[in-house]
Amino acid sequence: MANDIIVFDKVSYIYGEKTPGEKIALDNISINIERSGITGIIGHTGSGKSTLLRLMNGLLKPKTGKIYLDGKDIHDDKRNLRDVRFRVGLVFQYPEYQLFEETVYKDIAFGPKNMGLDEEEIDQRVKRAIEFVGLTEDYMEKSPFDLSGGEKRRVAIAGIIAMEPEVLVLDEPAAGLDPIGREEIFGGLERYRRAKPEASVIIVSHSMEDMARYCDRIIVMNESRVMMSGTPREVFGQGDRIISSGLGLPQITRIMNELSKKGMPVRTDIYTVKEAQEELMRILGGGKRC
Amino acid sequence: MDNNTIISFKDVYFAYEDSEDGKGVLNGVSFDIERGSFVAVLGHNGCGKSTIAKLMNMLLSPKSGKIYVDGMDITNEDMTDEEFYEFRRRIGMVFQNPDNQIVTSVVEEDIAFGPENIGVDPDEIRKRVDSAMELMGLRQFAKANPTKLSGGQKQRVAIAGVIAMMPECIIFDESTAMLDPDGRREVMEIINKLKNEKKITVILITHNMDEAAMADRVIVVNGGRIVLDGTPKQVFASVEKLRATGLDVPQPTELLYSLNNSGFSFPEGITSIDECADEIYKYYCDKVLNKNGK
Repeated sequence: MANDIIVFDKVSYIYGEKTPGEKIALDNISINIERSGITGIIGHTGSGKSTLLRLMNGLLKPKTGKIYLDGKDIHDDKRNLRDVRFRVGLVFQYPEYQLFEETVYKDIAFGPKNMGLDEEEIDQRVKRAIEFVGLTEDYMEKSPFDLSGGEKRRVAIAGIIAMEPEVLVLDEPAAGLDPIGREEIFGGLERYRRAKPEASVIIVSHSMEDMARYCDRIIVMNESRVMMSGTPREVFGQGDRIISSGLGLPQITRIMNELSKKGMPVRTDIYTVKEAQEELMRILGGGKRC
Repeated sequence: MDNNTIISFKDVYFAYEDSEDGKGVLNGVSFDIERGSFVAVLGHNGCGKSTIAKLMNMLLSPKSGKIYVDGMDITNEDMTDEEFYEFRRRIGMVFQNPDNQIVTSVVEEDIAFGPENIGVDPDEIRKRVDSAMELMGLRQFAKANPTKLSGGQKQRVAIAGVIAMMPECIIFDESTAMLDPDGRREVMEIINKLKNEKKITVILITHNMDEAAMADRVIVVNGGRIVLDGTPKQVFASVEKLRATGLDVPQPTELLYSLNNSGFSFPEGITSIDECADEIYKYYCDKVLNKNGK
């Protein structure tokens, strides 16, 4: 479809094929990821999420099936793969461990430089990228190793953003950060997406609360297959299915499910505190203290 | 100091030499940790909570103030080596990154590493390793290569290694931050077990509200000072104050808080989903169903 940026068509992937450690990571999955907006991928450790990400930019090649980027099979022509990796920027888990340059500026400039851009363009991109992630130009000449964990993480993300990919893919971008750190990361993604409305962002996370808050669409992976996909409301509204696959629901959704079980006539497809508050005020009749 | 106190901080000051922006400094911190309790030290990154953990184990020493462990002044420079090793043994520490705490390629050897280092008798080591593996549910992994285990399992190996030193107290310095939800659950279950079955004092350094809510006592640190200290209910009742320190509150707490702001009067500081649902349901039965004459 024209509106899909990434399409997986019956894709399978197997690690260590024909060895005793053989493991099917993805089992004949088909997904469509729409252009623009934030898509979240949730699932247990080992459900195939990371494999999915690595297939998206051609780091892994599917065993069977096809992967399309903007309508083109990414493995059609080997020479295109380099281009695919520039167009689909992948931020790994704990990307701060991958910083290596002497200065923040050089680290962020590494990607665009590899793309063969001229100095001026690189300079502009580095400046834009550091702004997206909420750091100031004062950081440019610092050593990345003198920064705090959260700042390092943002520099690493800026390094990918500076390549201005059409698809920005992040594996657990907020893992291990405190609420301020999380806010800074997600705030940066919001800014990126506002500045580049046609770009798509794909996030893997274990935090159901974060996914509910930031994603437009959610894909649920379970045992190497796609179990569900849809808007947060469609996905979290099927609480029983999510729980039966061993995944959690946002706490607020669990409260509404609990109330519904007790017999209160509440909606159970609620996934933000604000919505829950409105729903409860409707049923409890405002805040009349009687 | 009474015998019921395992760790005591008396007006402790600390600053890192290269600290530019005041990160990790402590500006006069005092508290007593009760023996056998489960205490969470909560705060955002750079607030000083990890500094507190490192001072408890003398990985850092304070600029001024006193720190006592089991009645022993650990800031006393005249402490003998024997005294120092003995105090270190009593306070175990589990760090954030599971991969950085594994030293050998076999699980049971890794657990034996600590007691071997302090010259424990081999028969005694065997006993300690076996009982630590039993407690941590690691029996089936005794001969396994720790690098092949999941994050939660690796942390259990690290904890077993600490248990084999027979400590009085274990400090978990953000030990769940790098784990997935299953791994977190594993570690939190272990913490409860250590407290309930082994009567070990647990100090959990964290910025995760849901984990802090499971403790007996929560100490909130901000800007190198203690800003809140009490039971989870007392601490989480201060929603505004927590937010001002850059922390969040669990969603059940937030929901009741925002309902109260719209005129309801639910109890404050509730952190559990069940308790939150019970309170709302109770109100519903009393005020909505009854009023309709049912």
